[in-house]
Amino acid sequence: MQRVVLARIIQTPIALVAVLLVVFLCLLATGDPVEMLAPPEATAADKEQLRHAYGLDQPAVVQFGVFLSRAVHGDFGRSFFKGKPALDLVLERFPASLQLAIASTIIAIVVGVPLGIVAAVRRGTLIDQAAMGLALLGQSIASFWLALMLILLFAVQLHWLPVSGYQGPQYLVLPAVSLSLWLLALLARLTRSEMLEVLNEDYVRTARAKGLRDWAVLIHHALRNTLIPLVTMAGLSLGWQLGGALVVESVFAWPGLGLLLLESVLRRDYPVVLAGITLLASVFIILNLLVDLLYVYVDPRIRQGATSL
Amino acid sequence: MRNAPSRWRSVAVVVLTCSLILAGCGSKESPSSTSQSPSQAPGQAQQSARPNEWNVVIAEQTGGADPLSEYGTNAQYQLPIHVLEPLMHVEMLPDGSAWGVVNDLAERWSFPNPTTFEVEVKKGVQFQNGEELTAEHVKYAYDAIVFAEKPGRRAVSLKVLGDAELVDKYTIRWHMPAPSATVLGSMYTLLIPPLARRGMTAEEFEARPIGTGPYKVIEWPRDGTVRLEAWDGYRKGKAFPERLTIRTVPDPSTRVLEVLAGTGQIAQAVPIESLSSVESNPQKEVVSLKGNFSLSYVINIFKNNPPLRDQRVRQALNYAVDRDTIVKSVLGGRGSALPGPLWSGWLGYDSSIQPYPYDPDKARALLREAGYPDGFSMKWTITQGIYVKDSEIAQAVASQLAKVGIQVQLQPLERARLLAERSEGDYDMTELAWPNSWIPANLFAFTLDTSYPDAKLTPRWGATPDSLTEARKMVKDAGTASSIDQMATLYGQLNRYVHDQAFWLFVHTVDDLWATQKDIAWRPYPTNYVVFYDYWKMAGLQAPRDPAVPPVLK
Repeated sequence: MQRVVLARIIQTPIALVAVLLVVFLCLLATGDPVEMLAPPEATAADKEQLRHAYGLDQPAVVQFGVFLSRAVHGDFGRSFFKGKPALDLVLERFPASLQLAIASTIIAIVVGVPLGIVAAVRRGTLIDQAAMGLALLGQSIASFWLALMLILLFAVQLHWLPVSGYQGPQYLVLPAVSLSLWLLALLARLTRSEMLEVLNEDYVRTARAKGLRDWAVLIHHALRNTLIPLVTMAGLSLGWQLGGALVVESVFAWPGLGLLLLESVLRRDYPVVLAGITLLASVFIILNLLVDLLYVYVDPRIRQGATSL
Repeated sequence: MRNAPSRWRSVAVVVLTCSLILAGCGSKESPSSTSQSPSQAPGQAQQSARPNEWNVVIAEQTGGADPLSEYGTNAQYQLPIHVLEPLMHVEMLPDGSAWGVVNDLAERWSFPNPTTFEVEVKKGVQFQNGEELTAEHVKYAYDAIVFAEKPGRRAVSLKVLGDAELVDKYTIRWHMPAPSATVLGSMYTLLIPPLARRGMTAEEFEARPIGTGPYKVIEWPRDGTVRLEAWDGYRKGKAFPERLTIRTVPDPSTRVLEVLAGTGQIAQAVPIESLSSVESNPQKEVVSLKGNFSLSYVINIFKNNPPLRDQRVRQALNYAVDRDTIVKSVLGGRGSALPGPLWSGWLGYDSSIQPYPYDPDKARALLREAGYPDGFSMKWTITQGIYVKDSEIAQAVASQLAKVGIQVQLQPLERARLLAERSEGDYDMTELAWPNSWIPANLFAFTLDTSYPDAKLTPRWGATPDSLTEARKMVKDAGTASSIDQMATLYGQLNRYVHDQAFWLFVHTVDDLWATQKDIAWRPYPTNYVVFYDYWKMAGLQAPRDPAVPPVLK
């Protein structure tokens, strides 16, 4: 196992540099930040002056090299548009993104997994059909539409929750529910199919024959053996939700990373985009590693295998 | 089986995680005491009393309150104006007849000669920290912005003023490298902080911003919710409302829902599709500033293929478009046909210049005369979702052009890409969206100079067209005018020239639209950066009863 962890640690900077290079080249090829920075009346000379002041007159390789050499020391440069250190801007938004991602993942797990178990146990019944119908709806509904409907119902009509913002716990409810639905549906479907497979296994029959209660069989024998795909899906989704919750952040005015990165990409604010991508890619890599480590915890066979390596 | 302590430990971890998330959410900002609680029904506020606390939701990030920093949004000019003031700005004059320069911190200003600009600041004006305003404050702010190591947008606009010199305690003089009375239009971006700012970093000043304006800052985290309180010491009297909260809500539908839920008093930039939901509610209203923005398409007049160098072809493009139908069907009537480069409110606007009439037969005749009876094809770069109905308008215009034989290939681009292609001159026709800002110097500089990089275009398409050379001379003359009256005359001539030459495909103006609670009775004042307090009352004027405010009242 140590070898796996070590290999991941060695791969991390290589993966990061590769991701950053691709993003940097894409941004460079599709627009010039000076066009967005300069006022409309700026002459070619004005733009050249700005380009020089911000180091954008250097060849792309030099710009990227300078960025990397500074980034190693934690200096991602300053935002072209906001003047503030890029990493500070990204870190300011990270807690909001983390809260939303964790909350929505928890909702998805807490609701989605039991829903899948119930659907599997009551296979073919009305409960199963209702649960899977709900899951299908969750995966096919557009998140912006769902978000607006939730606002209309709970904020405009019932006045139970606020419309948008980031001012207190009650502001988290609607964005987290909106963001969770897709993962919730996915987990429900995945749990159902995995459980159906496992419930027909001999060891489950043996457990029942031993006289164990139904819930004990389900939780300790069946569910435990479905955890690997569930853990993988939930872990990776958490990473995706950190930076990819654009629509939900926009609808609920949630000050997360997604909106900052979108705004920065559109303006070609390289330092902020690259700082954000570095953070997200790092989190993603760490989450992947954690998921791998969790495999060892949930599946003793892997632990055995890792030990024997 | 796991044992009981392990199970309880798991439960504790889950509870703790949830608590941390919830606590984190509430740690930074508490809900405004001024706002209705989410549980309060809309319209429960007393109808007779005008609420003294307003919540405003805007589209852009709120930036910060340091006038020497850049925040990368237009809100960086609009919002700090509530706290800090410029020397002067542009808006509708109090008599309602026209727009003009209105003094803020300036007592008087003049151009003693074409390359000298002199301003005397008001005496006895105090900052919120007790400092008295002097010319030194102005010089400090100007130098810090224009000579910054990494200059921003404002620096490019203001640097035409050249070097600043203190004449006496209250007078500052700029020595301009070239005559440029048009800088009057950019002076609103020069907001004046106290000299105490000198000893502070941007972050320190942002934490405790100080100005001479009508509001004091209670809280203004960068890009966060802005909380302001009317300042008792403001020299023009106390502003209304007492408390103002401004925050960013990027999604336009959500902004409208804030007003419908009763938690927002003013929502900026309401989408056309949402107007009916506001208008159908008796406690809400749609407030507008009529025709405050325009949409046109700049035609690349260098090009022979497509034959856009030919004036008749450009006029044919203009005759082929049914502007009134587009305004009615796409904009729901919230705009008007654009007569030419300038419309009501601009310096140089001439009401005798009318929009090109919709006349497809004349368009076809002009194309025949120019030698293109079967029309031609061209590409056209547009944005999607950046301006009101930008892609829908482009599609409507394209379909009308197709009826006279002009086949258009629409190319939706990101704004950064569109601007880059324009700077390279790599377009046949490209989008131009512009707000009313009185002095049209920047508008013409952008469309007649920076949109045509001659060095790149002439090798491919031939020498600079004579009409463009003539127009550029007119821009230069107007830009170096020695008085506003002379500037008005020269821009009037240029306006007519660009209209007749059909340098652009003129389309429409569109209203700025806000959803508001009726009981706050807010009306925007015609200016290029609208403020969110009762500016009419502050100016001693009667706000119009009609929620659709025209650019000029007379």
